[in-house]
Amino acid sequence: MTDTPRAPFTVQKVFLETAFEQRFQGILRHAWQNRSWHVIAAAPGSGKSLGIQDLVIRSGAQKNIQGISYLPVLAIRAPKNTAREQALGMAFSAAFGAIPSMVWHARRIWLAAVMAKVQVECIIIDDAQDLTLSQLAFLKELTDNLAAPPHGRQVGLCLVAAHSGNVVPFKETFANPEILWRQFRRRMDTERPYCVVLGQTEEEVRHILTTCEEIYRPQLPHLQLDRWTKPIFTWLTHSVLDPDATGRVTMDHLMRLLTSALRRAYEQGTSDVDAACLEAVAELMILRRDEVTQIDEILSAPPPPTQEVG
Amino acid sequence: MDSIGITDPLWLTTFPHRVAPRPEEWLAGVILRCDEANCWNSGTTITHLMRTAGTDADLEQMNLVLPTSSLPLALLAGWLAVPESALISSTYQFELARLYDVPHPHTQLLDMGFSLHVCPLCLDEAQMLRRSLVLPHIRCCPIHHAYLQSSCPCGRSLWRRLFSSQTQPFTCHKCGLAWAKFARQEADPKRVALEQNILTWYSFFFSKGSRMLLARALQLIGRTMEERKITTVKHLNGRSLRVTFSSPEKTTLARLVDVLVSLKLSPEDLEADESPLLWRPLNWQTFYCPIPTCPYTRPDEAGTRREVVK
Repeated sequence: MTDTPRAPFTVQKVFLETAFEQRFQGILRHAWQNRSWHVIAAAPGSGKSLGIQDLVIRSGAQKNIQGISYLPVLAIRAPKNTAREQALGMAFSAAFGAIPSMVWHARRIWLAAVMAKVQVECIIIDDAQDLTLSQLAFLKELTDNLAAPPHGRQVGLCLVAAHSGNVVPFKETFANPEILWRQFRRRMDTERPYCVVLGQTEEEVRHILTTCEEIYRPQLPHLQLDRWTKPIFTWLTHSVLDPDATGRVTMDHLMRLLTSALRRAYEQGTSDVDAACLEAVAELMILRRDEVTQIDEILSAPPPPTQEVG
Repeated sequence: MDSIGITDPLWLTTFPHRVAPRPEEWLAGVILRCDEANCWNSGTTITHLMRTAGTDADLEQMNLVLPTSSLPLALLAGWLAVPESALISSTYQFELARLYDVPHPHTQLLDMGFSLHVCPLCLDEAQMLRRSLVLPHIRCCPIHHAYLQSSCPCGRSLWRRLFSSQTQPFTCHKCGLAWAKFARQEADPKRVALEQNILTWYSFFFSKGSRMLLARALQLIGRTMEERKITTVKHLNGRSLRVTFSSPEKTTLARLVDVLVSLKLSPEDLEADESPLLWRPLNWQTFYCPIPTCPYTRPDEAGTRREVVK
C-alpha cells in the first residue's frame, strides 16, 4: 500500500451573504427600487465590489436574440488616471459589450439612448472616489438626458466609495455653492444621501466562521472555527488593521486570516486549525505585515498532478 | 444561443442588442435591423465590420445577395452570437453554390443589374427586407401584391443608398422619411401572376437545383423552340431577342428564368421531361478505322487510318 499524495489546498471562491453584504446590498436595492441617489462608503476590503457584482449577476440582465436586452443595474468601476469625461463614457459603453468606435458627441447621445433601451434602472459606480469633477458633471448630464423626453427614465445612482476616518466622500464637493453641485445635491436621497456601511461585528464574524466550517470541512474534516471567534475578532480590530477604531472587521482581513491559517493546517496534515496556527498568521498580519522578505531561492510550489497514461 | 446572461463571457463580445435573421430575410435587412436595435445610424454595423476586417471596399458596391470573402460574416455572427450559417442563409450563397456546383458562385450568375427597391408594407409590418425582392425581374411584393418602391416621394432614389451614415436605418437619406411610409401602389394582377411564375422558377432552382438541372433546363428550352419553330423569344422586358445559351455553368440564372417564363414553361414541364441529355466527350479523342480506304480518315505512319475529333 502506498501513500497517495494529498491534493493541494483549495481556496473556495464563494460569495457569502454576510451581514455587511446584507446592509450594503440593502441600500443598493433601495436606490434601485426608489430610483434614489446615494453616496455609499465603506472601509477598503469590506466586500463592496463583490456585493455589487453579486447584485448585478442576480439582476436578471440578459441579451436575447429578438433584439431585446435588459440591464436594470448598470455597474462600472470609475476610470483611473484620467480626468476626462470621455473615460467615464467609455467605461459605460464597455458595460454593454462590443461597440463600434464613435465620435464623442455621438457617443454621449447614444449612451442615453441605449441606457433607456436596455431599461437601466440603477447606475452603480464602484471606486467612485476616483471620479473627477468633469466626470461627475457628465454623470449629471447623462442622468438628466435619461430623465428628459423622449426617454423619461429616472434612474437610481449609487456612488460607492472607499473611505477612511470620518471623511465621507463627495460631501464637501456637493456642499459647494456652484449651481452644478447644488443641482447634484438636490437629486440626492432625502433621508439617506450619505451612507457609511459598517463592517462585521463579533457576532457577525461568528456567523461567517460557522459558514466557513461548512465550506472547508471537505478539506479539514474536524474544523471548528466558531470557538476562535473572540481572539480572531480581537486580532482583526487591532489598531493596525482597524486604524479608524471602528471596532468592526473587514471581510478581506477575515478571509486572509482564515485561508492562510487553514492552508497551514492543511499542509501540516491536520484536520482542524489550532490556536498557534491562527496566532502565527495574525502576528504576520499585525506585527510583521510590512516585513520585507528577501528571496534568494526558488519558491517551492507543488508540481501539477501527473497521471500515467496507457 | 437564445439568451446571453451577464456572467457569460459572450456578454462582452456581443453587441448591446442582438438580432438574428428571420426566415426569408435579406442580409441587408438584418444589418439595418442591427443598427436600429442598437440605436446606431444607418451603416454603423457594416462600417464597423469592414473596419475591423481591414477591408476598404465601397459599402454601396458591396454585394449582399452573394457576398464575397471581403465581407467577413463570421465576425458579424460573433457579435450577434448567431451561427454564421444563419447569416449566409439570408443571402443566396448556399443556393447558388449548389446550383452551379461551385464553392463561391460569381455574382454575375444571379445578378442582372441589381437595384434597391423595398416593399413599404413589409417594412411597416415587421421592418422586413425580403431576400426574394432583390431577385432580378421582381418588381412587386408577392405577399402584399404592391409595387416595390425604389425612390422616396421626395424624389431621391434608393440606388446605392442602402446605408447612409447620417440617417436612421430604413429611412430616406435626404428627407428622413421612413421607407415604410413610401407610396403604396397596388400591383397589376397580371404582373403579380407573372412574377409568381418567376418566383416559382427561382424557388425550384434554389430548392432542387443542380448543374444537371440547369443542363436539362437548357435542353428543354432548345427543344421547345425547335418544336415551336422559333428562334427568338419575347423576353420579360418586352424585347424580342434571339436565344443563345452557352454551357450551364456560364448561364445566368436570371436570364434562364426569363426565357423559361417567357416560353410559358413550368417546373412541372422540366420534371416531366425524360429525354436524354445532350452529351459530348470532354477530351479530344482518336477514332481508328480498320478499313484502309476509309474516306473519313487519314492514314498514319503505321498505315492505320484515324481521325481526331472533338
